[in-house]
Amino acid sequence: MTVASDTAVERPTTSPRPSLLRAESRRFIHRRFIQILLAGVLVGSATAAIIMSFQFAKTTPELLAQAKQQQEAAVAEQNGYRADCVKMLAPTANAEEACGPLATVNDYGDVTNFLPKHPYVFATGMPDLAVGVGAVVACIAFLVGATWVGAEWSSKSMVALLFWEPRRVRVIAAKLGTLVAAMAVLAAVVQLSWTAVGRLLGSARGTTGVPVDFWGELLATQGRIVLLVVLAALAGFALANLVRNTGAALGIAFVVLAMVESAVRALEPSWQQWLFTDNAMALVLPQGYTIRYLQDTSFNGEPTEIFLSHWHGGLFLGGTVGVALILGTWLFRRRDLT
Amino acid sequence: MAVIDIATSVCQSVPTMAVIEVVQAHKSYRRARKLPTMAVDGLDLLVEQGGVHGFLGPNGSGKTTTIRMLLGLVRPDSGELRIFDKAVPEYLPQVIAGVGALVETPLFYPRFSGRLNLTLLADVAGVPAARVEECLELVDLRDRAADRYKGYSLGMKQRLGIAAALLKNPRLLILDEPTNGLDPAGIREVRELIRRLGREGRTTVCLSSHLLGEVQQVCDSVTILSHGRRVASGRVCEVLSAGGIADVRLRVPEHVRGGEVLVAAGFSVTDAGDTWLVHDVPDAAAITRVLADAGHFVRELTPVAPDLESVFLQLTGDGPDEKPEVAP
Ligand SMILES: Nc1ncnc2c1ncn2[C@@H]1O[C@H](COP(=O)(O)OP(=O)(O)O)[C@@H](O)[C@H]1O
Ligand SMILES: [Mg+2]
Repeated sequence: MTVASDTAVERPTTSPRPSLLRAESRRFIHRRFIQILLAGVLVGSATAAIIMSFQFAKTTPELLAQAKQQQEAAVAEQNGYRADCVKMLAPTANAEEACGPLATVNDYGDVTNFLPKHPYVFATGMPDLAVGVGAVVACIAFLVGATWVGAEWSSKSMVALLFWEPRRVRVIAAKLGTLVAAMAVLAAVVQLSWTAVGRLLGSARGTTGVPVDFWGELLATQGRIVLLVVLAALAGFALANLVRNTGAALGIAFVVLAMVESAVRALEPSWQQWLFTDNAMALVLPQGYTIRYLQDTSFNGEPTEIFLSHWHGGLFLGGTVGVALILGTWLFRRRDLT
Repeated sequence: MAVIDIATSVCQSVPTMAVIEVVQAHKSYRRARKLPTMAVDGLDLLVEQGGVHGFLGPNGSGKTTTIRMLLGLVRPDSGELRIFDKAVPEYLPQVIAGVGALVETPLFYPRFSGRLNLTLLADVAGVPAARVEECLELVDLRDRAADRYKGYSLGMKQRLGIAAALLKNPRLLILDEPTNGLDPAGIREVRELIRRLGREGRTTVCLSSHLLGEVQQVCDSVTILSHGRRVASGRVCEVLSAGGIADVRLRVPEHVRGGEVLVAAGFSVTDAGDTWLVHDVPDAAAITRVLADAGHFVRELTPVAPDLESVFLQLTGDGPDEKPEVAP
C-alpha cells in the first residue's frame, strides 16, 4: 500500500451522475453467461436459416410439370392395380365394392405434394416461424432473468450494492429495468431478423405474396411475442429473487413446467386454462388458443372446448409474474441482510 | 510479546462533533425453531469526528450487527441510531454518499476483474473513473486490477474491499475487522493506511476489532463491547489504564529469593514458573531499585501487553465468554 499518496482529492465538478442503471447495464454487457447466450442465439439462428434454405425450393414450370407427371403416374399405377383386381373378379361381383373406385388426381391432393422440395410460402410460414423463434427466445429470457438476480445472491453483491444505494426498491427496480429493456430489445431484434430471413426464404425459395392485413397481424403477433419474452425474463427474475438462488429457481421451473403441468393435463384437463404453457400459447398464437379435451373417459362424444384469448393469456401470465415480483421485493425490503 | 506503542498524540483532546450516535439499540435475530439471539442489547455509542475510533470486543459481542444496523442492512428492534446527526435508516439515503464501509468479507462479483468491480460501484455513486485508478493505486492493486477477483489472494480481496470503501472519499469510513486473514505485512499496511487516514483529519475511521493490540496501535478512542453492550469507552490510553494493565515480567537469577524481596517491598506478584509477573507497576525503575538494593540483578524486565481477557476481567468482572458463533 502506498502510504505516501494523497487521498484527500476534491471531487471534480465533472463527476458523472450517480446511476444504478448505468452500473446495471455495464454489468449486463460484461456478464460472460449473457455474452455466451447471445453468441448462441446468433450462431443458432444462422444455422437454422441455412438449414431451412436447403429444405425449400422455388417452384418452376418445369418442376411443376414434372410433379404433374409424377402425380399422373401415381394415378395410373393405382388404376393398374385396380384393373388387375377387377380382372380376377367373378363377372357377377360389383367392381366398385371389391376393388374400390377408379382413382383420380384429386385423391393425391395438391400437385405440389409431388415436388421434390416445397416452396417457402412466406404468408403462411412467417407467423409460425415468429412463434417458434419467440418460444426459444422466451426460454432463454427466463434463464437470463434467473441468473441475472441469482448471481447477485450467490456472490452477495446484492448486499454490497446497498452500501451505495440503501433504497432497496430502487436497487431492484434498476435490475428489473435493465433486464426488461435488454430482453425486449433482444426479442425485437430476433423477430426483425427472422422476418428478414423469412422474406429472403420466400423470395429465394418460394413465394412472398401476402394477404392485405398480413403485416398488421404479423406485427401484433410479434408484439405479443416480445411481451412473452419480457414476462419470461421477469418470471425467472422473480423466482430467483424469491428463493435467492439460480439453481433452485431453474429446478422449480422445470418441475412446474415439465411435471406438474403434464400431470394436470392428464388428470384434470379442465384446469389447463391455468397452466403457464397454455396461457403462453394463448398470448402469442394469432388466434388465441383453444383447449380441447374429452369429458368422459370412454373417448366418445364431442370434445369440450375452452377458448383462451390473448387477454386471458396475457393477464394470467402478467398477474402471476407481478405477484411473485411484488412478494420478492417486499421480502427483500424488510429482510435482515447478514 | 509486543511492546505497546501508544502514539503520543493519543491523549490530546480534539474538537468534537458526533459522527455516529447510538442510543439504547436492541437487536435480536429470530431464527426458525431456535431461540432468538440477543446480538445487541441496549447499546449506547458515541463516535466523535476525526481520528480513528475502535469498536473492541470479542467475537459475537455485536460489533458487526451494530455496523449492519447503522448501514440499514439489519433493522434494529428498538433504539435510536444517527450518522452525521441524521436518523438512520430513515435518512440513510442522504448520508450514504459520505460513508464508506467494508463489513466482514468483501462482496464482489467473482468473475469480474477488480477494476470492473470498482467501476460498477463508481457508476452507482457517480464517482469518476480516475478515482477508481487512484483507489487501486492506494491499495497497491494497480498491477492486478485486470485479473478476476476470484483469483485474488485473501489479502488482495480485503484490499480491494478497502479500495471500494475509499472510492467515495468518505467522511466516515467503517471497517469491520479489516485485517482478518491478512499476512503480517498486509496487516501492517492496512493499519498504517488507517492511521494515516485518521491523521489527515478529513475522514473519521471506525475500526472494529477483537484484537486489543490492533486497537492500541491505531485507534485514538475506543468503545469496548461485551454481549451487545458498551462496557467502557473513551480515549484509548485512559480506558486501558483504567483497566490496571501495567504488568511487568521479571527474571532474576535467584528466582525464589527475588520474589521474596519484591513481596517484602510491597509489590503484588504472581509466580510464572521461572519468571515473576509483577502487577500494577507505575514505574519499572522501582523494581530495579528494590532488587539492586537487596543485591539482586535483573536479567529481564518486560512490560506485558494486557490481553483482551484481562481487560474484560477488569472492566466487567466477567470474562468475555464466547457465545457460540453461527454460520451465516
Ligand atoms: N444472521 C444471524 N442470525 C442469527 N444470529 C446471528 C446472525 N448474525 C449474528 N448473529 C449472532 O449475533 C451475535 C453478535 O454477532 P456479531 O454482531 O456478528 O458479533 P461480532 O461482529 O462482534 O463478532 C452473535 O451471537 C451471533 O451468533
Ligand atoms: Mg464481526
